[in-house]
Amino acid sequence: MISYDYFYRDQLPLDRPWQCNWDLFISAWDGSERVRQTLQLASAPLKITLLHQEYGLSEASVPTDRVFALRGDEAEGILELVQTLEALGVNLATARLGIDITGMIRPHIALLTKILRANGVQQFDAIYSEPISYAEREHTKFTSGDVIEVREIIGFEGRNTITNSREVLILAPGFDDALLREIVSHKEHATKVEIFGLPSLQPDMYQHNVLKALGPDTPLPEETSDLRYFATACDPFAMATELSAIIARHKRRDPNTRFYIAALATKIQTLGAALFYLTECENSTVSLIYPFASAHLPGPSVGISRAWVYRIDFRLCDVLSRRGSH
Amino acid sequence: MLRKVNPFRVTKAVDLSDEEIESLWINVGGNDADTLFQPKSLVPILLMGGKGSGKTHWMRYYSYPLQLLRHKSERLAPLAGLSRDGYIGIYVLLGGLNSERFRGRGQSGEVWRSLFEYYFELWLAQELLHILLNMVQEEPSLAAVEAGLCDEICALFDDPPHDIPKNFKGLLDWCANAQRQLDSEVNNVLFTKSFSTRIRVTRGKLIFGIPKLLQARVAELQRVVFSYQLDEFENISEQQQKYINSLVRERQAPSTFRIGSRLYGVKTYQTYSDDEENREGSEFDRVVLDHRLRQDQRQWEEFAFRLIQRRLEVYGALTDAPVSYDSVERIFEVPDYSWSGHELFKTIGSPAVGQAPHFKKLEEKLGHAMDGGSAPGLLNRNQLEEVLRCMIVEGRPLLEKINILLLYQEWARGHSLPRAAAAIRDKAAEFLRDPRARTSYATKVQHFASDMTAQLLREAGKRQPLYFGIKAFIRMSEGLPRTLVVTLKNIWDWAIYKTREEYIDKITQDAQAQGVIDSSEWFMETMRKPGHFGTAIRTGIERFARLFEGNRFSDKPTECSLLGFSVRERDLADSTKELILMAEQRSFLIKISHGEIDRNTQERLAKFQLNATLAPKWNLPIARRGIAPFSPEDIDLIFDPDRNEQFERLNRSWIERMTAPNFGESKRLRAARQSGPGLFEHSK
Repeated sequence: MISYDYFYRDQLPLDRPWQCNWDLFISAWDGSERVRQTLQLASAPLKITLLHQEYGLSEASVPTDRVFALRGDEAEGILELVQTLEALGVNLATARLGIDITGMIRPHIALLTKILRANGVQQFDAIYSEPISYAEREHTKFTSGDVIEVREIIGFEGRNTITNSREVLILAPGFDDALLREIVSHKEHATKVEIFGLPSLQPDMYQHNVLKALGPDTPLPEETSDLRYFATACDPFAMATELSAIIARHKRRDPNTRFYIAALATKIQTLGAALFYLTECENSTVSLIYPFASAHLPGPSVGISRAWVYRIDFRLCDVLSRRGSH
Repeated sequence: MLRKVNPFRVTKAVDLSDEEIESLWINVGGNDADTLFQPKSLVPILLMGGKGSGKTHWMRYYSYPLQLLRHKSERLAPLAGLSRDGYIGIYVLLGGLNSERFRGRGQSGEVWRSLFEYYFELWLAQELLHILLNMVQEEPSLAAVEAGLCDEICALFDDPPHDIPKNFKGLLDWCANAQRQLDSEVNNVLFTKSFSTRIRVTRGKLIFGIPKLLQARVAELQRVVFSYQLDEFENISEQQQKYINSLVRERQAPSTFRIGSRLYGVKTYQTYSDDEENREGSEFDRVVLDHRLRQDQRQWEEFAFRLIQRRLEVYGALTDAPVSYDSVERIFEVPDYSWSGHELFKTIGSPAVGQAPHFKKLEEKLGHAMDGGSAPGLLNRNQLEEVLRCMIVEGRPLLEKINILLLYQEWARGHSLPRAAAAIRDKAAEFLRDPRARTSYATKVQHFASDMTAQLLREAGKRQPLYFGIKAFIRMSEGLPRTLVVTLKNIWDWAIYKTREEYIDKITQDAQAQGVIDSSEWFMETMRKPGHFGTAIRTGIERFARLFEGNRFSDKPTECSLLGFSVRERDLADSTKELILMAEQRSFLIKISHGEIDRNTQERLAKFQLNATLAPKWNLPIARRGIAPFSPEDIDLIFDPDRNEQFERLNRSWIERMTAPNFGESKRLRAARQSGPGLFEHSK
């Protein structure tokens, strides 16, 4: 098991511009107030705002000049983005990068992290701004369309094991119980393990989370009641540490166990899951999976309460990885 | 009495251990499971069924780990056991392939196809080698030929391993390593842009070749069929299914296939063998599990009861042994809501004569209609009170409701209400004198008892459904064992939760009611389809349920116990036909095999019924009696989520047709309302 507590994270002020010296700031527009404010607070010579087609927002609605419309699946979208950045003269290996993941769709957060690493990036700052609340509280939906398919996130596939092997599905449930239901149904053979975000972003959000995941119309079977874990909702490194501990424990029981991680709660936790995968799970039996929906609802959050910076340092990942393998 | 354990806690076969699969196995009627599954037959079988119809249980029951368990209990060595069985079941979960990874990423379809074929070959070979590895430890005769077999297996490769493994473990590791490299390449092809993997074996060489070699080398396996049991066919893509179909078509003895799929799971029957299609009866046989169980109600009831009985026995849930049908029936508190019983009267609060809510409602309706000139023959308050008096059957609220129903029916025909009421009173009296006589009144009681009981409870403010007892739960689960198990699990959960004492004497009506409502919700959520059509299907099902609910709780239901509809399927829009098919494949709708003939066109109409598991959600009946005919245009509308306003209009006019006083405003009634109450009285 690896502890990811060494990584740097800090809170950013909301009352004055951020002095982070980024060369490039990437954000993803979801129509929310918190993404708008983040864009105003962040300063960089080059700012690019990604536009996910799933939100159904027009380019004209984006509050910055330079918009990059993501097309196709996560791989097509992110690879095209990298080509565009290169065409703009950005040297990813040396540029200081600030990436706001607040409005970004989860598979893109994961794959962007992997592709940055593959392109020689040694570290980047991931930004996340927390909302004050969600408009519909625990009933808030983040996707509006149907789930088209549940699959592994590209680049985060694991090694398959034959039928008799044990399967474990590690779920970080969000408010959107429809997504959770799809995942649970897709991997119905797996033992389910839950990670709840605690402390949550706001005190009431934990209760909402539990209500949706384990309420009377629960998508999660009762049998998982003794398999619940907790990780701070606003800390990707806490999520990575928790995943590392859970998987190490299960592997001790059966090294051939097949793992599926579905990080559906905060995007910070998705980032944590991606970081964990890239540090410990390449070419292993671990996959990140996600229920891909045809449409996402733009801006279901209210306001901005806090903003965070998380330094994703791949050199530190390498060190931890080496230490973990000894 | 019951112990506080839930014998239905595990609802899915995948969550059962091998031992549980074995101990909970129930043969279908006549102990003819082998006839159905035909484990020794070389003819491939497509085993289809709705979600929870028992496919996995069947396939695992006939798989090697379960065979081994049975052999051990009979003190048979593995090879002797297999020789006796005449088959070896190699169970494979296709979902474990995560087959979505074999596409896109800038690679051509051809490349992915070749890689998948190679991957699948390695996968099945590993499954078989894994079994051999387990077997060789206990079978010296197999150990004696192990090295030679490994040589021959390696010779099946176009490009064999450099250091030929001398045992099954080595061969298994080699295959696992080759698969691992392929996984890694797939994972990184985004960066590498191409594959360096060499495809080292032609399709089918290992899948069909290893069983042939085993048969040639191991005497006990000479007459053994190697059955690849591929579960979750629905979880692989159309192209991948096409590949497996090709294997089915090109199969070589002693290998065969059993393919488990949900009803919607087969995306194609095409093959890569000259693009030919596999045909039922030619390349494969097909068994649809839930259809088969539904076809014979008696057999389903028997099977379901034995399933319940076995669970109760295995988990020791009943304090009394043995578990008989009677003892299972006695577990549940079942109220006597028949017309002659007293429980219904008590449940609605033992109202004073003529003071029950159904009288209040009728009085109000008659009063308004009389004032508006739309109550035929009803001229004053005295007449109205007399009509109400005629409806009274003291202490028999169900008969009072039947009387009121008959009155509404006469009203809709425009007949004089005072005269009709007197005739109804006489018919009720005649029925009470001899309830067994074959009268039209007795038929009404028989047909409308369920609807009128539901109305009585709703009018009395009781939000309680009407589904009690083991027979009802078996009926509701429509041939789907998992639905039955989930329903009972929910009921047991509520019973345990609500009981303070150490043992449960009887499962209360309340626990049963809560349990079936939970199951109804579970069914709706579990069976629903993801993707673009899911919303349309859900909308269609919910709209039908609302229409049927409107009928059940109307003044004058047009159909009794309405749970189904008929339509001239040919005239439906193609998109609606597709949605209905999907709803059927998801078990929301059940096609009734004997469609009726359309009176006008003499064409056979398609008939469908809502799955009775959904009934509690809308308080619908579970035993279907009525079928409502709908026009193709109405069905198109019902399944179109974008036409909400039009549906609401359809629903309003549907309800109005069954609601006093205007009953859908027929021309004659409108004329009667305008011309005064006497017109129909005279014209009769």
